[in-house]
Formats: sequence, C-alpha cells, structure tokens
Amino acid sequence: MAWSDIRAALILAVLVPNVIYALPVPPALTPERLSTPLRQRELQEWSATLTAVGLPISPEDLGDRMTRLTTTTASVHRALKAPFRPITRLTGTNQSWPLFGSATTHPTRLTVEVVRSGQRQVWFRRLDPEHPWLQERFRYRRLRGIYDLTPGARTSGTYRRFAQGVADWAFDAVPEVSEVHIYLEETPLAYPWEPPLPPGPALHAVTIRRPP
Amino acid sequence: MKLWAGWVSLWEGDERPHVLAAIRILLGLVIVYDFVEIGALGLVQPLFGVTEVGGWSATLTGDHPSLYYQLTPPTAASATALWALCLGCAVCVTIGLRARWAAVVLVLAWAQFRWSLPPADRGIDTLCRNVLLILAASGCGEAWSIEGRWRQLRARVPSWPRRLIVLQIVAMYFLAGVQKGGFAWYPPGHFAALFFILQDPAIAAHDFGWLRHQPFFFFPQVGTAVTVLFQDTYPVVLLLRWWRHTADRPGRLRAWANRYPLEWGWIGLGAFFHVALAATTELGIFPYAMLALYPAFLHPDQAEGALARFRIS
Repeated sequence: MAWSDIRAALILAVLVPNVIYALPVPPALTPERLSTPLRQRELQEWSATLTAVGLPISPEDLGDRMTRLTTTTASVHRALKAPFRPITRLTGTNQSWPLFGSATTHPTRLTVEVVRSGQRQVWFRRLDPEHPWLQERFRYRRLRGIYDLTPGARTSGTYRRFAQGVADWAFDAVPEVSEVHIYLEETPLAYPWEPPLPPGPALHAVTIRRPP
Repeated sequence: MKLWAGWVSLWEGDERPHVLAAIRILLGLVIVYDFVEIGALGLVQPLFGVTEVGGWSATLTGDHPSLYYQLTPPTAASATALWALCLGCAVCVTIGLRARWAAVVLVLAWAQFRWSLPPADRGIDTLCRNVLLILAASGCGEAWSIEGRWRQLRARVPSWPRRLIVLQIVAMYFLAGVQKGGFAWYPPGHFAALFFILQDPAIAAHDFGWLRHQPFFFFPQVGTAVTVLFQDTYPVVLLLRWWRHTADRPGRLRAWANRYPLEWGWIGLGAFFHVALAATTELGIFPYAMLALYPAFLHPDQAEGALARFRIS
C-alpha cells in the first residue's frame, strides 16, 4: 500500500466522525422547551404556513410531533457519536454549527443595580450609554455566553456564580454598596408594523447582600 | 477501485507553505488577542478558576470534572497557569516556534477550559480548535517562522491540510444554513431574522432601533434572505473548485462555469458578511477568526499572482 493510500485512509478515518457530528440533528425538544414565547410563536407561524399550503396541523399537534421526532433522532445521533466522544472531549472539537438557528423575539438586557447608602441605582444596563459601569467586561463574548439567557431557560449555576462575581466587583469598587441586584430585563420585539411591546419582567433576578 | 483512486487523488499534491503559514499567523494573532483580552479585562480567575477560589467553574462538583483540575490543585495559580499555557502556545503558533506541537498543546489546554466553563466557550472556539488540529498536521511552520533563523525550512508542503480547511469552512456555512429552523429566516417570518438579531441588546453593538422604520427595515430583510441562500448553497463552492481542478474533462456546464470566477461570489459575500458582523454585533473574535481562514481558498501560486498584481497596481 502506497503512502498516498494510507494518507487518504487516515483522512477518511478523521472525516467519518466529523460527518457524524455534523449531521444537522436538532436537540430533543421537550414540552418545557416548547413552552417559551419564542417556540410558541414559531409553532404558530409554522402551523399557519403548513395549513396554508394544504397540510393542516394545529400548533399543539405540530409541537407533539416535533417532540416525538426530535427525541428519536437526537437519541440515534447520540448513539452514533458515543464511540468518538472520548476524543472529541479531549480535544474540544465538534461539527455542530447551529449559529443563530432561531433569532429570538424575546431577547433580554443585562442590568445591574446597586443599593448605595440606602439609594437604589442602576449601574449597568446593556447598550445604555447612561449606565456604562464595566461595560467592556460585560460586552466580552465569553461573559455574554454566561448571562444571555432566554426567557424560559433555567437559571444556571454558572449564571449565579457570575452574579456573585459581579456583586463582588461592586462591593470592591464602592464600600457604601450594601446590595447588588442582577437581572435580565425582557425586551420583547415586534415587527415594524406591530405596536412596540413594553419591556417584560425582570428575569433570572439575583440579589446579593454584602457579607457582614 | 475507481472511487478509491479518486479519493486518494483528492488529497495528493504539494505546494509552497505560505498560505498555510498565513493562516497560522492570522488565526494565531486572533487567538492571542482573545487570551490577552481575558487578562486585560481581569477575567482570568473568574473564567479559568474554580468556585473554591472565587472562579465561576463548578467543574469539580460536576459529573465530568475537567482533567486539568483533576491533575492540579484548585488554586488561583492553577487558573493562571492554564490561561498562561493557552496564551503561550498561541504565541508560539503565531511566531512559528514549534508551531505544530504548540497547536496540539493549545487545543488540549483550551479543551480543558471548555469543559471547566462550557457557557463561556463559543462556537468560534470550537472552530479554532478544529483548524488548529489541521494546522498541527500541516507544514504551516515552514514559512514566515522564527525557526527559519536556525533551520532550513522546507520549500514544499502537502496541499491536503489547506483543502481540509476549505472543507471545514464549507461545512460550517452549510450546516449553519440548514440548521436555521426559526421562522424569522423564511417568508412566514418576513425574513426578519437579522432585524431581530440587531435588536437583541446582548448581541447588537449599537442601538439599531431605527431599523423599525422603512425603508431601513428592508435592508435586514434582504440580508436575511441572502444569508439563508448563501449558506444553503455554499457547497457549490466545492463543486466549482472541483470543476476548475478538472478543467480538462468534458462537459458544457463545467466549461461554462470555468470561464467565470463564480466561486468568488460566495467567498466574497462571506467576507462581506463577516465585515458587516464585525461592525454591527458584539460577537468578539468570530468574524476575525473566520476571515483568518479565508486565505485557504487561494493556492499559493494564486496568492502570489494576486499579490503581484496588487504590487503593480
């Protein structure tokens, strides 16, 4: 066997798991994941579109079918990936690229408020030039990955530790700060021809008091 | 047998190492910048440290603790050491000091960070690691490398790593396209995806509230439709490149396509999108790391020809 054959075989051996990882299989949908405002709206829009082209289906039916289908396909995909998981884990490699698979209609705005000498003040609100405290840190992509949670998502442990870290920064910066509130303000979006929607509730709110 | 022979021939050939070296340097610079930014922002301990020392990683209490923190004590020094190892290896890759080994160590160390704090590791980090592994198997250190001061660099290196990088870029665009399931990318959602993305306070670099008004809303609509079309059809680039590679074979469509630089329509559009993303969003190194891979589309002879034309003009 010539070196060119061995090289081609090695490349094939590397590409096979990459192709398996690249299969565009969506993660398993659950009723909980389908309950977010974005998913509910998507179900309604796709149901209306399918009905309009002669495939009548209700949003509830569509949701049930998607849940069953994605649960099966995700389980098969997981089984196919299993033999290669040790190497992808060691190298941190993958071929899953769901970049902006859904553009959310319910984004959130990170806000940091503090209680300073008894007065509650906004110190940081994303994209608000009047409240720019530590904006260079908060705009950093790795931090965004931690705090950019959509409505309906669970408040992760990492987010809670991030909130604690933000509170520590505030306590260190100003001794009079006694309390820090970190939350995500829901900013629902509408089409230009729809009336603008009012800001939603404070989500994933965490309050941290200065330790005695 | 014919199929296998075709597969084997796909990966044959060698070329001068300058394009791979350019990717090594450009991608290396982007990675160095990212790790330096972590240090400059004072985020080494929060991002690389474990909860026991005030970091945000709970890897030691999770189901799959990172190998790094199983082997090292959970201290601030360990966090700093992991960050410094990533940064040091990225510098070595960039300057071409044992670039292939540095790329392997960087991938392994970076993966440990990935498992320590998964939400802080983004898609572009994965792509960088994928490409670094290709570079580790390539002759990327054989040009524009500091090692040239004390050893003879090779004049020719295998072409297949550059082709694999092209395949990686094509796969990423295509898979990003076919996984766009959100209604806002399609006619039922009025092609409003980019409009919504630019209204997302976590992603937008500026306030794009003015896009709600016509005629401005029209532009993100066009951008959305073009994005989906561009990404879903991106594998055409491979076909067009294959036709160019086999120009001596018969076929009217092949002959017609080879008369025009059609693939550069997709490649140029991709570059434009990344420049636009860099100007309008807070995606960090994403657009720059992607653009760092674009030299892979050029054969070193083409790159030299293009540079020569640029110099003349």
